[in-house]
Amino acid sequence: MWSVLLILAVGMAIIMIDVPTLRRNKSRKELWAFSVLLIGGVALNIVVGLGVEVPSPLELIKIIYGPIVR
Amino acid sequence: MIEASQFKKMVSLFVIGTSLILLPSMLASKAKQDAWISSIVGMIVGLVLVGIYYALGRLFPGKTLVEYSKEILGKWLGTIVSFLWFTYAFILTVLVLRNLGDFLTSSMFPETPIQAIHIVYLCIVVIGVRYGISNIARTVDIFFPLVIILLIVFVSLLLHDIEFDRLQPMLAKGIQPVLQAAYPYIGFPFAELVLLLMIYPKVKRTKEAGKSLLTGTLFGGLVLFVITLLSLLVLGAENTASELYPSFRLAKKIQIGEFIQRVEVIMAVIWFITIFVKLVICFYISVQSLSQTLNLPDYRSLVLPLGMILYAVAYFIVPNISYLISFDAKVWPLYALTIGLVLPLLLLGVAIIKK
Repeated sequence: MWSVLLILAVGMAIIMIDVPTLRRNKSRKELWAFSVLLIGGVALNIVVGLGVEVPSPLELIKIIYGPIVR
Repeated sequence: MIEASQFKKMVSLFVIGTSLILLPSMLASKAKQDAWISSIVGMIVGLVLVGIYYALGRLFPGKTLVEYSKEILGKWLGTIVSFLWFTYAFILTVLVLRNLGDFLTSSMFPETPIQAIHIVYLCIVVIGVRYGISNIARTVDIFFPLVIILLIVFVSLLLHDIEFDRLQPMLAKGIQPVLQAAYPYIGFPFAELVLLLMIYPKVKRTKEAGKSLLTGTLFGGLVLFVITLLSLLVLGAENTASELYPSFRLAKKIQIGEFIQRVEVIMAVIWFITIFVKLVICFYISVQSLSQTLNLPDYRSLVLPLGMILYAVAYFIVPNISYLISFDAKVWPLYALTIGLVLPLLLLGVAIIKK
């Protein structure tokens, strides 16, 4: 529970650091990319923090190269 | 903007990076006492690869890898390839961070949770990347002489433990194991140098940038050669192959009289620095390539969110160390060579036909 709150707090801190400059520059695209990445980051950290087993991204590479590797 | 000399130091520290501590056992596990030959073979092939990158960089002065991927291959295909550069850089960043965590938890801080080490290190790296490439370059300027001095101290303290008999018999099983051992070494670290084409256009004079890339790689390769040779001469082939971190084991050997002993921290300090440089450059390249793939004007706002993702992924990227060892030996070289050899050759070919 504490870890989730901590992760949300870190996410809020990042918003407070970056969003004012982004809004001043009026760059919509950048704001979009920032939001998507941040939501992804917070979600991923919460999932890991709650102890859910996440498959390694290396598995994907393994599957792609599977036929070539003996 | 950075100087050509700074770029050269960056390249050498990038090559030394994680390999300094992982390479000797990687080579010795297949080539045994001929591992030093493998390291020369790998370095020569690595220099050929760098030649390809040099040609690419020279064809498109002032542009980054992602920018000319899009120019050469068109909007759609170019974006896909740019995304591949990004994923490669990002996975590399995660693995480098994880290597550091694994090393520290298994050798120096056995009770500390790996996340604690990751978060501390990641904070420094994120700050470094946010400050930009010229700051990173100046940091490298400060650290480079320190690494050289510590390496010289390290090597000279070990000189009296050397026994040349440990290299015998030479090429007992023919040349094949030597080449087999060199193959993963080409993918790690030399194929990774393709990513430095993202920094290449930031060097003030493009002509010198190419030369710095080559000399930097050569220097890094030579340091790795010396460390591999030293591991074999001091520890012997069997011990080098069975250790996970042979150069660290090597440092524990140092003992002069009753005064100078347990100086393995020298090795750890060298590694902290080289891995910091590699990590900061890899993360800078990941963020930069993502922002250019998405056509964003500035990369800075992506640093913190991507850092957060990096932190989470570093935790679950390798379930255990034996998974990583088998992955590094079998799958990673293929992936690295697809990205570091096939793609650049493809780009170069299409670019030449188009012109």
